[in-house]
Amino acid sequence: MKVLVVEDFQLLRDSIAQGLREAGFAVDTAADGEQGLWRAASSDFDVIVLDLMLPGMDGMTILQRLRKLGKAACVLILTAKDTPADRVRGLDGGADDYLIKPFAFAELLARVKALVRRKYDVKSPVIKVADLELDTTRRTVRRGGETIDLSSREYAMLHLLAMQAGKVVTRTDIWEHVYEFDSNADSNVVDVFIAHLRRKIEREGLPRLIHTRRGHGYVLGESGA
Amino acid sequence: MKSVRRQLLIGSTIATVLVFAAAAVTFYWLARNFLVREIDENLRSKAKVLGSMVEFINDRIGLEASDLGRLPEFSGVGTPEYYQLVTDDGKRTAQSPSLRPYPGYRVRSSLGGAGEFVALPDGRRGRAISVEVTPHLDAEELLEVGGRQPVVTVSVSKATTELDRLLQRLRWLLLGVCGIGAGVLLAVSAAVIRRGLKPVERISNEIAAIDAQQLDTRFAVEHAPRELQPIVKRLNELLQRLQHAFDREQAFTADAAHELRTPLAGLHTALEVCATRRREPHEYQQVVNNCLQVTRRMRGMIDNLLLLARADGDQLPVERTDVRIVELFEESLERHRETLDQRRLSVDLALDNRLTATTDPEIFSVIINNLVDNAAHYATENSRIGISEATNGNGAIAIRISNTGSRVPPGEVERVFDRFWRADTSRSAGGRRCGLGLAICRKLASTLGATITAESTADGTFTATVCLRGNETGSNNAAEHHEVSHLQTQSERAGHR
Repeated sequence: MKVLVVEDFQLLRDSIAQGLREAGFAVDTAADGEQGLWRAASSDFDVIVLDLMLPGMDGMTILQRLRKLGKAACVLILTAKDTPADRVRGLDGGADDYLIKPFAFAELLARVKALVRRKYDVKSPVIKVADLELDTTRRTVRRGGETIDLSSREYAMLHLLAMQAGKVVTRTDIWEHVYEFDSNADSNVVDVFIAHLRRKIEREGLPRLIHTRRGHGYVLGESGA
Repeated sequence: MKSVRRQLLIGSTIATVLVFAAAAVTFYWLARNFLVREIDENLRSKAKVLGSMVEFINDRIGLEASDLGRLPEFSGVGTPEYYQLVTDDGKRTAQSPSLRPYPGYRVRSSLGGAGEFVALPDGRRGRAISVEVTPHLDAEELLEVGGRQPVVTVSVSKATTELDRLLQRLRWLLLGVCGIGAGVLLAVSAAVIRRGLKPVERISNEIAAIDAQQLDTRFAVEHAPRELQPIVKRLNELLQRLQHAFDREQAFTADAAHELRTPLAGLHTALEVCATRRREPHEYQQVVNNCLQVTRRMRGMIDNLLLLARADGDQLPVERTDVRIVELFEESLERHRETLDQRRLSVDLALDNRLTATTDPEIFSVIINNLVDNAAHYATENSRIGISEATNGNGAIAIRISNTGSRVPPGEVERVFDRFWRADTSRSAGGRRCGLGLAICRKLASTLGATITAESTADGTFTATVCLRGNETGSNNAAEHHEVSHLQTQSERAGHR
């Protein structure tokens, strides 16, 4: 899952990014309004954590531009403005959630996760595909009751596939949602990681769960239909 | 409590009553005079008739009795009238039959033909008139009365019962008409006053409904009565000023909250994320250093906010002494030596050594420090900072501090004095700058009775000018304060620098 953090205060931006990365998110950051809009517009994020008072361009303007561009990312506004009128303005302006500084990082994390679920229209934090079970809160994966150890990137890929179980997820999508903006990995690494993932979840003759749609991408599901 | 309505009502009541009373009295007086004159006229003509009837009969002066039949009103029947003829020697020569029952009665009325009110013999009130008559006597008759021409006073009187009754009725009528008229007029004026004061009531209700959230309310001037329009206009202006002040205050509070909450959020998140797992010592070190830097910045900002709040509340003690300005600059430059050296900035300190001002050295050095700090921070690397002075007669002095590399658009230069305003809005870089420096300078300058202005040119030269004045003909800030720094510049300017 990929998050953009637009915040001009360095310590806060870096800390949020670090916390989110350690929680398994791919995180891009922007330090001012213009950079934030450019990043947000040029790639598909699941969640954008957006400060309102930004140099260059304020958060509400960025939000309106993004909505006009038809970007579907869930936006979590992060601001020091705490009056009900400010919250209403933010939510009416197209934001999905609102968090007031200072906040507990655990709450920010929980809200970001909830926004991810909302984006993929998944209600429960535990996703089940056939006998595969993803607990997105604890970041654990079990198949047939047996726990499977995954690296954080493998987990991120499986999470993305599980969120859209039964649907084709393109290699670009996977690459975009799992890798950060300034990572120099190219999209071929996706195939390599999918191979690793298959080895772990489909071992010892278990039925296939990740199906390849040649020229399109991958589908997670029982029959691969 | 003073009530306009009550005052208007009392005033109009008094006026109404006075006008009605005056009208009634005048009317009554005219009517009475007219009626009395009628009666007098009647009496006078009767007296004349009687006078013409005076003759010498049977050795004495009397009335020609044969003519009396033509004057039945004196007969004593019905409502009698009275006459009495008295000669100048005091003898009563004739009287009306109606006076016969009252032998001692004398009509007391002065001569001259004007009517008078008298008491009639039967006790009633009446009107009497007396005229003097000189009866025409021939020589013989004259001899008989003593050779002297006699003069006879003819007095005629008549009861005024009818007139009195009429006048009494008139009084009651006038009283009634005035009472009803005044009542109606009062009711009408009360209604008019109430109606006239309606807009006041309406505006007062509207004002009562205004709270801090509705300071953008304005009253419709054109709907107010002309007399209230100036008040409504002033009220609107007051509301506007109030709204501006309130908005500014709110913006300041919001900015201050943002400026404090953001670093606090940073600290909290950095520490919370750091605590989620065990980390390497160098990672802890990094977090501690980052957090320390932020707390230092926050402390600086809180100091600045407190300083501003104290200056706003006029709580800064001002202790004036003679201060050598160049010393303050030298101290400040020493404090910024590291930054100046790091950024390879040279300073052109062109101030007279003997330039002194009578001002508070601590407050004034805060101003100088902030200006030097700004210049040292924003000047292009490897450039010059200029500090110079300019006097313009009348004891005032201007100190100019200029640097290159300004990012302030020339049109927005006045905004540099706004609290939390920054040309370079990024908070992440420097850490210490929060956009309060020049706002503090301006506030403190006004506390000292000095002024501070700024200009920024298109080529990036920023100049701040501090004016210490000997008089108050300066900015409005200076005028607010009664204390003005007095500046003494030595006359000779030989030992420059």
